[in-house]
Amino acid sequence: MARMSRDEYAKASGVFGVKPGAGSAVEDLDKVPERPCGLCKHCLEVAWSSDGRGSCNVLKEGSDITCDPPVFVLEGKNGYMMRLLTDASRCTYYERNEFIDKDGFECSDPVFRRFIRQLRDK
Amino acid sequence: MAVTAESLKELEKKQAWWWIAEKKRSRRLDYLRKAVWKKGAIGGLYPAGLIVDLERPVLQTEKARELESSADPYVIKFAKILAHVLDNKTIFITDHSQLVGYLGSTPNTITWDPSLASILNHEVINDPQCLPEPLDDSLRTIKDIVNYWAGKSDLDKILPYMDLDDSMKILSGAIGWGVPLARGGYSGKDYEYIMTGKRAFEDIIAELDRRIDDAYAKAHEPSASKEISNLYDKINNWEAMKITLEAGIRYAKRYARLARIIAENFETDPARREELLKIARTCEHVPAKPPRDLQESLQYDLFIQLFSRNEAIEGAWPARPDYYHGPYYEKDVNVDRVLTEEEALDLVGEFLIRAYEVSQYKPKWSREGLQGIEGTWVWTLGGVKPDGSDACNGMTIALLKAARLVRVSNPTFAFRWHPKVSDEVMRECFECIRQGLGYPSMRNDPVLVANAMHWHGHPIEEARTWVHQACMSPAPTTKHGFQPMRMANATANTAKIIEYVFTSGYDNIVNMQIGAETPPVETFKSYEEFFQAWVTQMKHVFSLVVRPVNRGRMLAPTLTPRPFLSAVSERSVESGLDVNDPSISRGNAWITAFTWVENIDSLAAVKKLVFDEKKYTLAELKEALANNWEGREEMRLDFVRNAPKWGNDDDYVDSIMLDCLREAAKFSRELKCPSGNSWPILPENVSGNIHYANVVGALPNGRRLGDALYDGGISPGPGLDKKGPTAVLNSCAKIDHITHGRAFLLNQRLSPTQMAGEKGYQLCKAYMKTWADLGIDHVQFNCVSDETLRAAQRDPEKYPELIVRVAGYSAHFVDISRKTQDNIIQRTVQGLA
Ligand code: SF4
Repeated sequence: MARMSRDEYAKASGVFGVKPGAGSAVEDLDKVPERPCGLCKHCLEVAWSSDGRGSCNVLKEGSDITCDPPVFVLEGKNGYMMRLLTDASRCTYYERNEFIDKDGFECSDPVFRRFIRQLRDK
Repeated sequence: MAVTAESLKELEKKQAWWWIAEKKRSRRLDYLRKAVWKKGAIGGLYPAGLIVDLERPVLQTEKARELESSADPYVIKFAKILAHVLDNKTIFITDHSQLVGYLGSTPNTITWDPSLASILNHEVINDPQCLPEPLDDSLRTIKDIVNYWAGKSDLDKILPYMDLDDSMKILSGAIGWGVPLARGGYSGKDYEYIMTGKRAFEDIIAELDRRIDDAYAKAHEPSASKEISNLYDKINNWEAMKITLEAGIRYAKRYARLARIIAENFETDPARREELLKIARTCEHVPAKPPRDLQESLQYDLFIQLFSRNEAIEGAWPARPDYYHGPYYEKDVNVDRVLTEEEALDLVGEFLIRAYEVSQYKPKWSREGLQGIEGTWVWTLGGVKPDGSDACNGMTIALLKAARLVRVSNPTFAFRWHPKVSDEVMRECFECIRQGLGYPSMRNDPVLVANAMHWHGHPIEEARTWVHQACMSPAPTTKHGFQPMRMANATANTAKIIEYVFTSGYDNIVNMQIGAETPPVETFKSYEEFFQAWVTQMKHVFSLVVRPVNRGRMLAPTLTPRPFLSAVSERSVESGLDVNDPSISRGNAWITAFTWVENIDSLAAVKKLVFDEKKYTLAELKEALANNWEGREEMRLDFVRNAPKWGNDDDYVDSIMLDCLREAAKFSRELKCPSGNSWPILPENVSGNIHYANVVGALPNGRRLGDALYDGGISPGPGLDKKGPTAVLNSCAKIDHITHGRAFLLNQRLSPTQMAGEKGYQLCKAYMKTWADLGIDHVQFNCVSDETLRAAQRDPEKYPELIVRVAGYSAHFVDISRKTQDNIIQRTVQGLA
């Protein structure tokens, strides 16, 4: 893995959580876009936690679907990390997933994303 | 319905043990068992009815805000926050109970500690099930809390000091789980210091005062040195320890007051009034002073466990309740005769129930990996005393009997078998297994004592005090031998090792280069070359999970101290250093190796079908695996059916197991913990075999992405042990259970029909003798028929207390996911000859 700066790393992984003082960032956690990554077939929620992070199975590191125009990087070593609530309206690779497990009690189901409270009724 | 011998016999015939328990237990135990809320996640979600407790995080956050401008050092601020929680949290006493104390403000709450990890806090926001109503109000409170702790939580504080690449790979969730945190894992305890009746909190406070006074005097002598400089930190640590102990005493006194108020003002039943007054007297006495009787001893222990869990999230409960409570049991029941056996059973049964209800909000990996339970509360029974004599006592038997009456899935027991164990105790163990509890698991004490000496250099007297620090790993309970925190981060999803050999370390599931960049697999000309790539990946994966833990241990004393755990640890009280300081620990680290046997069966399949028989090339196999065997079903079945499988006493594959373990053991010696000791591996699984099912790609043993992985550390694949129980034992016995690793989990299913009556006991005893003679360190049994398990899948409400052994722990069958249920049913039922 190429060496990233700590800032790039924090952005990519979200591991540092929400920064203090960035009050709106917590509010953002509850904004559900019309077309979030979490409903896309290519979104893989991290296996570690259900805090809303995931990686894309198509786009690679360096992509950014939130800017205008979006950046799509298809080659590279690492997947593009995003949040399940990232707005995917500009992503041309978005494909809506079919959800089977409706209640989320089945462990390790690929649609474990049901744990995201905000996606439950989508 | 009246309990008649006939009705019990009828139920016994049907093996309806959960109904029998209901009929046999006292009215008090029946009430308490039914009143308790089960807390283990079902699949991965907490059960309906539970709510996240917001009282504690609010208290914590308000105190933290108040202390922001204080000049106190962090460790003292931390202790004051803990004291604030204990002083102000809601307390309650459950009807009919004799033991008090709970983490949350009501019995149906799951406590949440927002100071641990922002990632966990975001999980709370995302939880679809347990946020209290009205939701908008809760979310407002939660967001305020989450925002406050962002950047201030333990994980946020240590991550900037960690290796970024390693952190990123670990947080992908593909390679392991856990976090390298001193307040999130499995805390060992210095029970030899705190549970032997020689001292309690007031004695330790007096000792701390003495040390603070001495240090203060020394620091102000006309001199200057590094030692004097260090004294200031020590004084702060001692002060913080004292704050937590004093808060603990006050917390207990709040219960004493509440019990007295209820007794004197509200209780109309004279018998219950007397019980409440006894609770009051107990809580006025412990934890301030050493216990005087069984009730005080159990209450004292419970308080210590609760305080520790107020300080940290604890995923395990290392304990040896028969050894430490046994003397009080003997005194009350057999010497002073102030308790009948039945009355003592009520206390012991309730102690199990109080442990069962403990709950803390945990991240996804933990909920999924430990389905149906809150954490691995594997309590250790039996074993030997430091002088080598049998340690079993009346409490050992009482605990085994109580377990059958209350049938909780947490705690479970693991029994330290040794040649001097009496037949009476063995029969009690057998009854628990026969009655389908799935526990105690049996541990080979002489082997494990030798193992503790071999790997970590524990002196024999200390090694003999060992308890299970989590599901499987022995840890002494002594001043330098106990491990204050097993950081669960050192857990490797080892099926990735063989997967990475085929992908040159690239993880196609999470899109990351996680493993070593070994050459393309198709370039390997011999099995030896292929195996060396496996060794390289193994070293890479183990290092990846160990490095952050080492770093976490080094950072813990300053960034994430544990004043309460320090206060109940002799080495910290004596030295003034935080309990996690590696310089005062001997070290007792281990790497949990999940999904280990997939490696062995996969290597054997490659050796046989690719290199020996040359039926396929590595390039072909690589392609088939990359496509998840799609379009290659015949080839897949060849790898399933025609490659030798571990567990059949077949040297072809068993020798591969030994090669892998020898390489791992050699590397374990090269990996060092911060105390300078080794990192042996410990193959076991909890329900990681299900959690990781969708994270591990197709493998050469014929497994497809998504298929459940094998269930045990050295258990054969479900249904793949075709040659009977002796062959399984013979395969397992080829492993050196002292030098090849720290412990090895073996699951076995027995037929309940075969286990019936005296004949069943004799069969089991003979099996155990073979097992012990072969020097195998562990075995655990499921003894529930397919028929019962299938019926429970159909009508779960009829089987609420049906228990099964999942891996290193047991769970109620109805509380685990369908995939795990099916996996347990698939395991081969072994008929004993
Ligand atoms: S929407 Fe785009 S970025 Fe998001 S998961 Fe789908 S393909 Fe990837």
